Amino acid sequence: MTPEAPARHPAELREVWKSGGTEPSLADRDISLVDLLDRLLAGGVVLTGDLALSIAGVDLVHISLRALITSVKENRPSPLQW
Amino acid sequence: MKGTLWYCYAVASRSSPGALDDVGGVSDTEVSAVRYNDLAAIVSPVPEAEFDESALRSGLEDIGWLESVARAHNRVVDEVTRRGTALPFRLATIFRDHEALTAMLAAREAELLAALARVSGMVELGVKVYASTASAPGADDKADTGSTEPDARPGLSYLRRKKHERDTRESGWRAAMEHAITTDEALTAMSGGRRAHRPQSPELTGISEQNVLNVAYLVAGDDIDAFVAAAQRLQDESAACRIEVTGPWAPYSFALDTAAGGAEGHEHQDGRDAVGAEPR
Repeated sequence: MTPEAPARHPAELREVWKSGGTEPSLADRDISLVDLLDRLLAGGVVLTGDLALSIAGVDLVHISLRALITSVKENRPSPLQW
Repeated sequence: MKGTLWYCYAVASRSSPGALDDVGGVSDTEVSAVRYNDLAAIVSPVPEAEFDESALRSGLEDIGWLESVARAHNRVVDEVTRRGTALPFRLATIFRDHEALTAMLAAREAELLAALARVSGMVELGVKVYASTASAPGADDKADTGSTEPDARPGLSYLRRKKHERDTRESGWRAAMEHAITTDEALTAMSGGRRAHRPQSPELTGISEQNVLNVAYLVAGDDIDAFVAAAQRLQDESAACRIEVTGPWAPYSFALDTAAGGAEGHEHQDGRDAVGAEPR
């Protein structure tokens, strides 16, 4: 899907530590999208109020799960290399 | 043609970002820093047509868009973290203009500085524990069901087989849960913070083993090797579980609690909602 995410076997994605060694910064392609979304949607500094554009009322976790599930169900070539 | 909004990836210590010319942001934008006293917000100008509220609502439903933004966000955060201490923001945190951004930095200066200090020198490691399928009903069940001799009471045989399958499954599950708890306790003791995420569903990961534990730990950079070695030892101690370590990540799972002034190692199964309401 994205140019920096070449197709890889799912097993490779789960070998982050074994393949990543001690290099502190991992390449994009080693990171599973599900792990990433765990952090980007349920973590990070969350702002509410007028200063930041508010999508606070939107359950990010929920809608992203819906998007993921839809993509699985449609059974199109997965961008996620599961 | 609509205007420009500002996508904020992270807040860093003023001195740490350096030049960001070579880092690509979301939607092929440039990345720059907006400074306020000792803080630097890491931002990109993004088209309003793609990032205003209604566009975000539909974009977040589009797996291709979501993935490209998520990976770009993480790429920028990783790069900033590599250069110094940074506090990642949640995906798609958007400001209307520099004034709004600066006003946020001014309003939250003390807590952002405190949170930066807390994660300084630390990384986040993810640990996922799966109930191993090795102990699940398998080949030996076939022997039990022995289809060679006709069963006078096929119904009873079926029930016995089902019960055996269930018992095997349940004892494997119990052993996996027990070892997951042992693992969690041992790794928590080695960490400076713990936050549980929802176990990942097999439907999303394509991993058939049941994910019984999905936890992020805040670990000192110098302790990474020892932490991973401990996880590997724990893996070797039990056949009931498979343990996976991911990272190091920027401290995504700890930015939120600290910035909200929350307790250390505080657990949110679904923290997003709770945090907004948390008193400082």
